[in-house]
Amino acid sequence: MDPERESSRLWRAWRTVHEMARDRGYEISEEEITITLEEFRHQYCDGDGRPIRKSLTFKANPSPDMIKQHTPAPNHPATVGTLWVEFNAESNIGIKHMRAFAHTINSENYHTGIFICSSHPTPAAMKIVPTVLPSVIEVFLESDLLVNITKHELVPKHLLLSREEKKKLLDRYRLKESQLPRIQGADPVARYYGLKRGHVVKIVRKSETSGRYASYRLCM
Amino acid sequence: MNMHLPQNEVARAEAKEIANTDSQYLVPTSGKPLRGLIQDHLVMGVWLTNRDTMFTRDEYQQLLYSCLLPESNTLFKGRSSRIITLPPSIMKPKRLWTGKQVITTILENIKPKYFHGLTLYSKSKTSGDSWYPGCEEGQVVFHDGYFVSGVLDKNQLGPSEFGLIHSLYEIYGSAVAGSMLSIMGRLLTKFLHMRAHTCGMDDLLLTHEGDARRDDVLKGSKRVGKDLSAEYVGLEKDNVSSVELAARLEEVLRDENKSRTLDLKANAQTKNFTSQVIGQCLPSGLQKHFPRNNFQTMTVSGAKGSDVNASQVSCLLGQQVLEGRRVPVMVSGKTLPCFKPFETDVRAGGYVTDRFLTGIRPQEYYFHCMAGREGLIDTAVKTSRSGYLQRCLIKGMEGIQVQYDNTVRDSDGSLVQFLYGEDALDVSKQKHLKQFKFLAQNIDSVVRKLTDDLVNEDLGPRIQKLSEQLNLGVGSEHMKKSMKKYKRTGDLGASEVTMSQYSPSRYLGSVSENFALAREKYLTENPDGIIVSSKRNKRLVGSQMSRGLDKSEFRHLMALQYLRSVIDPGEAVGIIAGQSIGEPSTQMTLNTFHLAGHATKNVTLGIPRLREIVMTASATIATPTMTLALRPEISDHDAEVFAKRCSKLLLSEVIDNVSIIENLTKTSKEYLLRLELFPASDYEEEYSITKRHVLNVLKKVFLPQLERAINKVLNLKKTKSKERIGKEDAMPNIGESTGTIEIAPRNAQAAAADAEDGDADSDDEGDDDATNARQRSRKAEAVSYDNPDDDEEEISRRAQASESENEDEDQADEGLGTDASTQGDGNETKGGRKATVSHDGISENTKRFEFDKEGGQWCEVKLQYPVEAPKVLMLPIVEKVCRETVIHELSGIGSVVKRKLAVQGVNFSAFWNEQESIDPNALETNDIAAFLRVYGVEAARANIIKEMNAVFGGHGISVDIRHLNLIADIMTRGGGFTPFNRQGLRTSVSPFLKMSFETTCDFLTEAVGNGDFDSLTSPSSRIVLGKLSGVGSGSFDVLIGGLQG
Repeated sequence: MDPERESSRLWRAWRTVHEMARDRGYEISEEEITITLEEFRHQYCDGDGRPIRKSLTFKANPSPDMIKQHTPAPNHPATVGTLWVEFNAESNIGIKHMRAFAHTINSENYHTGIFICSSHPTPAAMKIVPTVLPSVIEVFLESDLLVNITKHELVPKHLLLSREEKKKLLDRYRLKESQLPRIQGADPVARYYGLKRGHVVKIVRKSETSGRYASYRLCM
Repeated sequence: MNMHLPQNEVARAEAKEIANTDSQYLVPTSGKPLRGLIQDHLVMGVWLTNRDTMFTRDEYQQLLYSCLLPESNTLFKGRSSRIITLPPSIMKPKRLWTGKQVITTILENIKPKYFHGLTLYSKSKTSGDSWYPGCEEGQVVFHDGYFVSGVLDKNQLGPSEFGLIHSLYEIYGSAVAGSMLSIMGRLLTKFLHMRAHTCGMDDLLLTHEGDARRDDVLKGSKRVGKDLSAEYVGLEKDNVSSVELAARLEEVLRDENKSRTLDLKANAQTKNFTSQVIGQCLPSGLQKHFPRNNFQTMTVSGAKGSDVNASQVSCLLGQQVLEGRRVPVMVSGKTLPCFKPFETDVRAGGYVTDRFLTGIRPQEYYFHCMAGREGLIDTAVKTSRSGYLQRCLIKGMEGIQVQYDNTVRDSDGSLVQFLYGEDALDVSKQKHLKQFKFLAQNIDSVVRKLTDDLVNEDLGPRIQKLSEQLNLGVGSEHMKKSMKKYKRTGDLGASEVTMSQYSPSRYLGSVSENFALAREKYLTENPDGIIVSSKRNKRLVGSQMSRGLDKSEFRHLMALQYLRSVIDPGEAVGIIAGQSIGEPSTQMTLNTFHLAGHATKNVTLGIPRLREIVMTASATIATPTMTLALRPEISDHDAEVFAKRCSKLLLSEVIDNVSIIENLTKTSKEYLLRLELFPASDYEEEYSITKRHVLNVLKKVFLPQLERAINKVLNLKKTKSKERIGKEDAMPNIGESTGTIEIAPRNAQAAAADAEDGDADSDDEGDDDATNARQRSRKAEAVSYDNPDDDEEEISRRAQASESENEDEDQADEGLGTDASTQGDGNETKGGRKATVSHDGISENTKRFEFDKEGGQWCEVKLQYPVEAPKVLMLPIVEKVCRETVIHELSGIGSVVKRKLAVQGVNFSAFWNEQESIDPNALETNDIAAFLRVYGVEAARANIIKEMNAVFGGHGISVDIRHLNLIADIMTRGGGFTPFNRQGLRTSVSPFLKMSFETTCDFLTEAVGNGDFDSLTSPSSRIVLGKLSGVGSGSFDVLIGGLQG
């Protein structure tokens, strides 16, 4: 792939992953999201214009709002922490690479790690993901991040409910959790927001009949 | 016929209140009226109400008596049974009443006590211009019950929305509208007896000029067939040798795609003639004109027949269509034995220029019968199809019901929608909700109907009380704030949606945002001048002048109207949605539809498409397409280049001519292959490729592929003649064989299916091995069906990498299986060696490869084979390979149609790489499963609605979006894309429901094996046990407070 194309692809993925972090509630500055292609090339590419993936890492802290959202009850620790994002250039992601990433997560005590690679990791490598619990490793493909899917016209607004809001919702409609409509954990939008089993998202969509309409889905 | 007698009080009440015909005036499918007058009544409606109709006192009273008296029981309740009459409109020389006055009198008589007269502005179906240019009779006006202008035809009396009957229904209620229909029926029957209506030959005849104009136009159609065919096969229009034309036409007609295109072109041409003839003759060419012409009166008023019927009688039948094509040709090249083979005249293709009036010739008659027969077959086949579709839908949604909190839930309590239809409105009640003009004009009657108060004259206190009970202000205050916030930020999640916080049935003013916006727009624009300022109203307190309607009053009353339109709890919306899809699907005809601009490509429509979406939730649809939105800054030229770059381009498309010279020397056979390309400038521009690109393809793709094809033929010949089964033949190729064995790359959908399987497995491990096996086989099938193009590509690419001259096509030649054991050893060495040879692109057989690097105009290849090689016909091989060689393509993408950028095939990520040219956030596709994979469940939901809407829209059928919404919500409630079939029903908790659908024993054994139980909440299971179904009126019971005493 020619370097120009590669750097522009990475630039898009870089922006998408920043937007993703912001939409999840991490503290991300506006400049990091609106970075232009030239700036990106200037900062992260070598002399040939080839992007250096090793330099494409960043760390983000949850905003106070996000911490509040993820605190199950007052005086309980929040279920959210620092985010670590890393890109990987290898064409084959094996156990070795994954282990290295898991090590970073563990040693630096990150809560969530996002590992962005250019090809699918091997199944064996994916087995390492649950070993870092309670930390979380999320694996994304570069090609899946070229576009921020939540910006698509047909994708409505998804908002994560806090535990309190969820309880209020279930009370108001006198529902058991299992009676809510669902969203799969592997759903692209659920992955974008890093939803876990049991999370409830509020979905606000544009409606032909009513203008705006709020719905809810439970993540499975 | 059966007679049904209600057997108990519940049934009696249901028959009286729900099944009674007056209450069944509107269809829940679309909210439009179902009942209406038809045929003779409509003709008479026009004659009765037109300006020329006058009645004497006797006639006037006779008409009124006959129509009003039978209704006296219901109408004159509470007042003396005298019929109110009007003073005549003409006093001298004779007292005369107009036809319009008859209607006015009826309206006056049926108006309930305390109600005001009807005010209605509407249009007649009969346009004013058909009476005389500039005539205002096209405008129907009722003012306070007084019929001012217009005629009553289909738009007013028939089953049309916002007509006279529908408006009466809205302001006076169902009973009055029902009796109005009966009264009008009797009145118009009576009038028909007095006046009569007939239709004769003189209504159909054209004038001499009209006939001449018709002949004139049709004369032109004689030539058009020949010209078109000649042009299509690439011959000069003016000197066509008929032999050459026939030969070329034969080729076209043998080719499905080519002949389809020709058909479409011919149809477009003949359509012109048809519409020209009709334009020239109808109605201007007729001997008699509209009010006097009885046939025209019928078509114009909507009583019977349409312009099509009129033109078939007086002008021509037009093109006969069979399965979207012209009349097919037989092997002989004829459409009927009496025509010449490959006849170019459009007449032979089924274009009928005869008319019913003067008779049609036998050939034409035959064609017409063919087309008619197809219609019959279509209807016969369709009924079973749409019947099954409806059954599947209903089984899947039978328990879906609206609850008291306006949510929609299934019979097991799981939630489907938080508000029915997203705005909690009943489809059949919301029709007039945004007709603010009508509502404002009839506000007094509307208010009376809203409050349901037929006793008190002053409604003020009643409204006051209602509003207090309904928490006025809370909802509307919240609404105001949250809409403001949303409008300011443009962020969907900026503020809470009022309706989700305050139940629309308990809080007056909690209305949908769309409704609120429309209402405010009407108030600020005030287009009809009905809304007055509140200041003026205050000044008028106590005065005699009538006070108008001010803004806050209107707002308040419209909120009340909204509340009254909210859907009733207990409504079986699932069944209604199922019927609303099932019923109109019987009306759908054509199965496919032509993609605009691309003659040979179709997209599935009609029932097959509906089945694909709803019944199979298909992951691999028949005709996947994408629509790309070009960025506005992209110029037309760039767009074209982009489209070409994305389209699949074959080598054959740039080749003008191929010639082969065969040369036999003592030692070898030489073939000199010369490919003449189109001028480089042409193809560079047309397909936006470069000469170098073509060279690369020729050298790296075409040449190896050609050699392989030749070798295949050579080997085949060799084995056939059992000559030379030598070592060479037994040398297969390692790259080749791995290519075939390799498992196709699984794509995401297979993975998704996998995930589902995983779920099933974990649920009940060992118990359904058979199912697993079936699923596995299904999966295998899916893999083998998936993107065969990709696989072939992959295989051929591998093959090219290790190409050699004598390579054996063992996958094709299965007959060579005997050699299999000897193949093993030689394989690896040979494979390795060849791989290096083919790196330079030229192999042993290719002696010379030359390409016109300057002009890019030609390419010469010299191939050499041993002299003992069998003789082969090179040309067909070369042609075939040219057609198979791909210059460029995006995987999964066929062709891209230029301006609209409709793409055949689906591949999101390919277009994510093209963000400079297109807007990735506006990509559309008809592949719902693909959307689910890439954009998630909510986008898939939106896509289901969009696609179903497109199916119905394509056939001109209106189905309310609320039904589609509900169906999409049910299909996606599990987070996936669940079909309405056995598999989809598997998740249901009611074993009886599943058993009563299909494969009873399977479901029964499964249920018994699992120890399942049925809580008897689903309608099916209740019916199995003979209990009252729990939906609709069955969801209520009498609560007897026995224990409390």
